[in-house]
Amino acid sequence: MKMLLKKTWRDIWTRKGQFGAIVVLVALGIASYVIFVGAALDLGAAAETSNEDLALADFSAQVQSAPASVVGEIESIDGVAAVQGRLVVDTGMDMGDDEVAARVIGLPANAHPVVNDVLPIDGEYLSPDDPRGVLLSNSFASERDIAVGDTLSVRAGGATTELTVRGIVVSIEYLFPRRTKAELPNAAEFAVVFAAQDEVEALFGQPGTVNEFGILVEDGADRQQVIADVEEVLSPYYVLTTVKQEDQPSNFGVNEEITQNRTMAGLIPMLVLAISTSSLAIALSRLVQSQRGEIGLSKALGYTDGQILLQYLAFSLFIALLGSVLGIGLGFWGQWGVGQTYQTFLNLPLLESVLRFEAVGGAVALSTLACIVAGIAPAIRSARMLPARAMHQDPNLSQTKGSIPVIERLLGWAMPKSLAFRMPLRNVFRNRRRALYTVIGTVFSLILIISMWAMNDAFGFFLGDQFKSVELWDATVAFGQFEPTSRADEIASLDGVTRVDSVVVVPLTIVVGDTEREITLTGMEPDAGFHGFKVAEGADAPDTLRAGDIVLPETLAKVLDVGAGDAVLLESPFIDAPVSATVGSVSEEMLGIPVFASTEFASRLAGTSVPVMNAAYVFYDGDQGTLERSLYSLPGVANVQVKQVVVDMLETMLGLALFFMAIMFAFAFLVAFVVLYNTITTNVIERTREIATMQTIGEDRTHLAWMVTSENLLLAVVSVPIGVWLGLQAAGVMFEAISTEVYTLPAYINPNSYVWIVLSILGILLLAEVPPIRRIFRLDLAEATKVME
Amino acid sequence: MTPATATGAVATLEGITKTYKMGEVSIHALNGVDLTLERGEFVVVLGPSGSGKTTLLNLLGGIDSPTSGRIVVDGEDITNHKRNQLTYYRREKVGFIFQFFNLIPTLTAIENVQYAFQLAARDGSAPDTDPQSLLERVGIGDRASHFPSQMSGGEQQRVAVARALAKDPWLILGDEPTGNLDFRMGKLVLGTLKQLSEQGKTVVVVTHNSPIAAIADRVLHIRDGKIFEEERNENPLSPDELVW
Repeated sequence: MKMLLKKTWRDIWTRKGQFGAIVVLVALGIASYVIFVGAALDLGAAAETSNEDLALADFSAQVQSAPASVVGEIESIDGVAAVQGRLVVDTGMDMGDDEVAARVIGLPANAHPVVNDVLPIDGEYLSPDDPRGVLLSNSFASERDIAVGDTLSVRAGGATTELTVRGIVVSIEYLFPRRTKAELPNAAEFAVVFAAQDEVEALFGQPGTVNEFGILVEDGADRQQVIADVEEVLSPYYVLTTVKQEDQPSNFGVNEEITQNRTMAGLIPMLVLAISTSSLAIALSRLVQSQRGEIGLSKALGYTDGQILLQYLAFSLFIALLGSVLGIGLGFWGQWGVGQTYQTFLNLPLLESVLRFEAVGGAVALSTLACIVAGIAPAIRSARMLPARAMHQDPNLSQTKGSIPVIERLLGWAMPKSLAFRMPLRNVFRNRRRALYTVIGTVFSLILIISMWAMNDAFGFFLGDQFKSVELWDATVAFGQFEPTSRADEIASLDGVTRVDSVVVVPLTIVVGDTEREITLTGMEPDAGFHGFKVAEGADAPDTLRAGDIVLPETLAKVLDVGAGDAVLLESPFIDAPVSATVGSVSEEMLGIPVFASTEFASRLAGTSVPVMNAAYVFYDGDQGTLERSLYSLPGVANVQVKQVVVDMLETMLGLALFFMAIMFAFAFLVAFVVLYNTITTNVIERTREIATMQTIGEDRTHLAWMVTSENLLLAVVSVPIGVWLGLQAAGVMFEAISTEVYTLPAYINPNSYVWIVLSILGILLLAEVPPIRRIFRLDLAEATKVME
Repeated sequence: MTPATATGAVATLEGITKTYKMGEVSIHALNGVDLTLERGEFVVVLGPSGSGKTTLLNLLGGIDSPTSGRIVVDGEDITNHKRNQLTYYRREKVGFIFQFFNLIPTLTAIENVQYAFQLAARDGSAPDTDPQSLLERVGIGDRASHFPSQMSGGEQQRVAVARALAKDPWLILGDEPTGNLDFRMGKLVLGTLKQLSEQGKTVVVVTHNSPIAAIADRVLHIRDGKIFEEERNENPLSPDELVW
């Protein structure tokens, strides 16, 4: 047995190139699994730990304004474990060159809050002795390079107040820095400032008041009942929204990220593993087949079937072992890299990259099993043969059967007479299994490449389309409260403003049967031009608005299972009874879940009998920084968003997705290369004598290289359409899986990309040919013409 | 017997040595070989395994290069030829016949011959041969459209002979050309080779099979990399008379 194992080792050494390629394939399969599953588990664990350690509220309730004493009333409700009342005010902050949106949140100065705590990562927590000392969210601090001791100029009560940064903190509520889950996180443009509750009350002239309650529910308590009881207690103070933990904007984003990662972990590694294991099976099967004579000899010398099988088992396990070690190493390195990227994008301080059994075990088990099955199955076939037959080498019997393929019979008259042209064509058909392996390899590679490419294109399309044909405005301005529509004239009078569309945005709950969703409804004039509608079903958007109906985004319509003409119920915090509305149009929206109605209809839901506004879309011709400052200078303005800043921010956010894409692109190209290298090398090795004979009788190396290339190109002609079609299907599944209620990725591929994809696969094909062609060039003709195949 | 068409030397080997390095060991496959091959000669090279006879054939065929010495074939000094020069040399001047026939399995009998013809014609004028006539000449004209897998060993080897002739070479080299053939087929192939030498081709056959030497014009005995004995057959047998 020792001798057989020695032979195994020498077999490995003889075919080190191919062996290495198989090991790399196994490693890539395992690595991709470890990276995606590991990263998803790391993120999940970090989110869970953070939620627990920093006591993320099980739900929170926002009211217009309530006395601080109401906190005591909520505490006494059955099922409430803890409650934190605070004053939250949205305002602006002067950053010198520009203005940013700021949310100022009141916290107890003498102790950490019992709900929605913050974790200081630099400096110190608030102190009653330092009323102007505040805490700043770490995401904004790092984006704007702000450190402890720096000063913040916060707008409050029509003036600017200087506050000193006392600590930089991580807030579990603002890992994704955004106010609503429909909003895009924007670390550079949205500051979260935590100040002493008394100080916030004083700054904004609201002494003794709170407007937000974070509540922890006791274990075992019925959260829905607790929510109902809390809303009952808060009803005198106008409950604006009640947000459950899973809908909390940041938590929702983190969970979406985890879900997307898990989805990717379920798709990409499986694809890579499938490719690597099938390639492994093919390569090992061909290797064992080529050693049929040696197997026969071993049997003739007295080795048992079991010992021979054990030899190939050792060979397979060695591949699995090396692939696993390499894959785990590479995977963990990738997982760590993803963790670092999460740190950068999400500022998750509690994120730790841990090598987890769940991530490693499955991949290793699957790969090992594939290695064993791939190696053992052909060995069993050979071991079953009688030694004499296995060893028999009759040049006639080993001769490949020749035939003229149908295509040549039909079109031969139109083909060049040169046999150097016809041989590659016949080679494609001479060994269908070999051709099939090459096709499978190319198809698998294309599936990976197209999936990734499509995602890249979809993001590009998303950014381009959304901000060129949907979001047509230049800036948005939000007021802290409802204002008369005449405020739009003030904005219109600003220098450079060419048009203003006033809107009224109302937080609502939309209900259909048992399904309900928290949404924001935008009331607008039918002739407003800030939003480009793509109506998928029903009337044109302006007609719907004129008719007093609503425009619903397609994703929400699907969730609610409604279409044009169906009725929905809208529950507004500003009016007592739900209002029925008819869905007039269903529109395709890629970003957010915007619901639109007329200004009158929305104003009614805002509880007023006259049209009001609390936001406006501004069209502007000039410097956007100037516009931003002018808008912030208007009384009552809580937030200004400039479109270009949103686009930049979105691009930054997509950087995370691009990072993943870069990893997957690398995987796709590497897998494609290794699969094709293995297939082509084996194709060449199996025809060593034939190629050597051709060289011996005078074929030159250039023509031989061309023959190998044209054979592969002919196979590519078959593989590319299949691969492209399957790749598109895979991309569709992936898009479906990663699209959420908040954004929908269109299954879009730029027509130019098809050219690039085909060129890429051809490039990889040509690159993968280099080693086997070099092998051809280095053939020892004297030896190779005597090889028995 | 002197071939009717023989006129002078086709190939000359002077002081040829060939040393293979295997790790730290040097193997002297050929050690100071001098040889001249005449036009129209049928030469059989005999010797035990490892004696250097195949190395000699490889050097003549331009699929290996000598460590020292000089090889001139048909007036062309191939001693220091680069790989591509050797390719052109083989393409135009040498016909090979292998023990395992080595036909291209995806080409029919006539296409195998045409392939060699097309190769020889690639760089200039086409050789003055006709693939179909060549197949008829070796007695398998009726098998022209058959693939190698549809032919017996003897038929395949005769296709290989026709292929070797397609470029109309002066030199035909056979490495154990009957090694995988039965007695009857072996004689048929040798008969064809003998005819070729009689028509002016120089044929060199390397073999273990000593009875074959009886049909040669000249027999070279090689041992330890040296031609230690050279016999001239004044009355070579006809292949039909061979027994082994």
